[in-house]
Amino acid sequence: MNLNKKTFLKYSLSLAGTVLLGWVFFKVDSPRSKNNLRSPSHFPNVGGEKLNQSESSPMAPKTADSVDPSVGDLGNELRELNKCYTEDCGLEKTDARSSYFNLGQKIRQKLLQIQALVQIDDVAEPKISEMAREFIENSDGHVQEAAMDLMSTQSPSPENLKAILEHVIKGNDAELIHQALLELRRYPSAEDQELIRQTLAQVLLTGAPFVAKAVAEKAELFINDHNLEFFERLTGQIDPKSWVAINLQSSLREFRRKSSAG
Amino acid sequence: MAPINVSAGDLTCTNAIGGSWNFGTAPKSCNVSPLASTPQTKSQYGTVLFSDAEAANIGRQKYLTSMYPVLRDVGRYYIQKRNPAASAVEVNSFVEGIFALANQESFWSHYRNGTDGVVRYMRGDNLHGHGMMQVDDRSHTAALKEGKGVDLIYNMMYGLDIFYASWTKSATASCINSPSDYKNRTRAAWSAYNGGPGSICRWKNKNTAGDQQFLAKYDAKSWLTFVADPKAPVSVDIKCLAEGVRPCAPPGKAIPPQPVPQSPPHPIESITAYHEGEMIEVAAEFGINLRGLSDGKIIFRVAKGAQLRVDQIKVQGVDQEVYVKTNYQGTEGYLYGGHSRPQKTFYQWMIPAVQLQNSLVALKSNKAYGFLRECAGLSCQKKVALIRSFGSAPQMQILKREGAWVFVRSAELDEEGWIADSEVEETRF
Repeated sequence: MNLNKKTFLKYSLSLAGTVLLGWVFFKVDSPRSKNNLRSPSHFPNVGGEKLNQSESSPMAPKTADSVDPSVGDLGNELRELNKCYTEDCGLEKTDARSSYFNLGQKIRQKLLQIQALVQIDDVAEPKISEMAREFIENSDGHVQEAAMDLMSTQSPSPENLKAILEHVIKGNDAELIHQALLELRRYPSAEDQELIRQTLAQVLLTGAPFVAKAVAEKAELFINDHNLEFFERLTGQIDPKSWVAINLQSSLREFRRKSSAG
Repeated sequence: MAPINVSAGDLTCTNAIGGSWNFGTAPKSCNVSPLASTPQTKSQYGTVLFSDAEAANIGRQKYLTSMYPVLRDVGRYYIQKRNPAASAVEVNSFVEGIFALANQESFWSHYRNGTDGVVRYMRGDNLHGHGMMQVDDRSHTAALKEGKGVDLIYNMMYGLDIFYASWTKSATASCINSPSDYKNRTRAAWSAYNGGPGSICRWKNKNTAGDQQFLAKYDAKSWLTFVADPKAPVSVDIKCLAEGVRPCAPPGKAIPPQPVPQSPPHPIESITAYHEGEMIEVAAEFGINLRGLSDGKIIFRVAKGAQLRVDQIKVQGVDQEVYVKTNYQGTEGYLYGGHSRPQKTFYQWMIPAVQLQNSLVALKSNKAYGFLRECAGLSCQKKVALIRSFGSAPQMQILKREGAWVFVRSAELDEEGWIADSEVEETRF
């Protein structure tokens, strides 16, 4: 980004145009167009984020009765898009996989739009979590990543925890593991920690190989005084020549060093 | 055939050679470089290269005879790793499915040793598909840039992650009569592999041309006409290549001689983020023990916030552990300064004073995590790195400000990027 004062006005003007074009694009492109024109300053960049975050005034969290209707509209559009995995929606198709990837990108864009609106208005609403959970089940890692972004804007819940564990930690996309482990740090209760510990152990032993390696690499995110012994014992069940064991042992060593001040 | 260069976004195809769709060959193969090197590939996978120098039929027979045990044993290794309780029938059915999957995706083609001695690997789907399992760069760009597409075993593991997910789902799919209906489960798993999970019943509901081709290949098992001995032992160490530390020796043999690295080892400075002669500050919450020798006897503990000079840096051990030699209040000794792998942890222990001289920020205390981003024009989107906010949160040095955004550098993460000003606060240990 290179925004000097000279070009700022030009960019600001072009932003308004881009936003309007973006809105027109989505009006045409979305399966269920709604008459929900928003002011440019309230519309996030298409595929990006609203730039002037500092301009949004702090608000008290909204409740179920006051959810911004456009979030609901976008949610409906998302569900219509989701049907395109099994129904022919006339998506661009240059090869067997292209429509699958294109659809994933469209869903991701919508999730990012919703996340931007939710963050601006500080919306706290169970339906947002429901939406995030629905799309965290998607097999496209780009969609899952955006769904986790959306989930991170909401309060932790047992359902959200289960969704992350079942569909990301037990999944096969190693790129998502760092983000997922950070999200799991929002679940400190003993009961949740036990569930997390058991799931991570299962993944380290029988999970998708790249995911297991990523979990071991980021082990410092979940090793603590309470589970140190558990994971020390677990390393005994893993081939010591594997990266999973080597990385897990490194993380355990580092944790012990921290506990004893080096 | 004269090499041509074809561009495919960031994953450029160079020294491309053509060929026919047949076992071991495909219309496009590209240089393994820069993701891998010809000498390393020959050293690790020399027994499973398709040789362009040989007459086509002889080369094909040799290739499939050596590749068959690889596919067979990778399939067995994978399903038994994921599901140790899998029955022998399921294991064999899964392996049969992989034979057909590799036939449909790439005609079992992966590496080709060109007549010029340069090793290529197969590319399909307008160059989007990489290698044996056709790992697609429209969805798996990061993994491909890490070399998971060009490396044969990683390529197969990556593809099998997706195939296995569909395989397990197929057991309960509406279009499958019984979990033991392995033939149709294979067809369902391939439909989903090809068109996404929503297509798992495509083989029954639509039965596209692709689904029909897959079934024909599954039934014909044409690969067997080229395989001299289906029970022959595998020529590479599958387990080591899949999950271990490389280089891997072929079964029962010594590690093959390794090519000399083209670039020198990393200098200490690039590993540690600390520099000899510079000032540092202890950042670890409970301080750091000063030891007589690196990892030796403790003399006393240096408290958090203490500033000292780096006299010498020592890197040791498999984790590239860093020890800083210093003189603190008249006593010489070593302080542990974090390790380089699997994750850099330096700034959880010490902060270089060069950063202390500039404006430092960290994530606000109420944020669980945030992202460093790449920005183009007014749109910031692509994530460069995750910044977590627990323990000793990474300090970020502000390099410049633009409106509501700041451009920061995190030496710990070795990343630069933009982050919203509202997400960070000025800090100091």
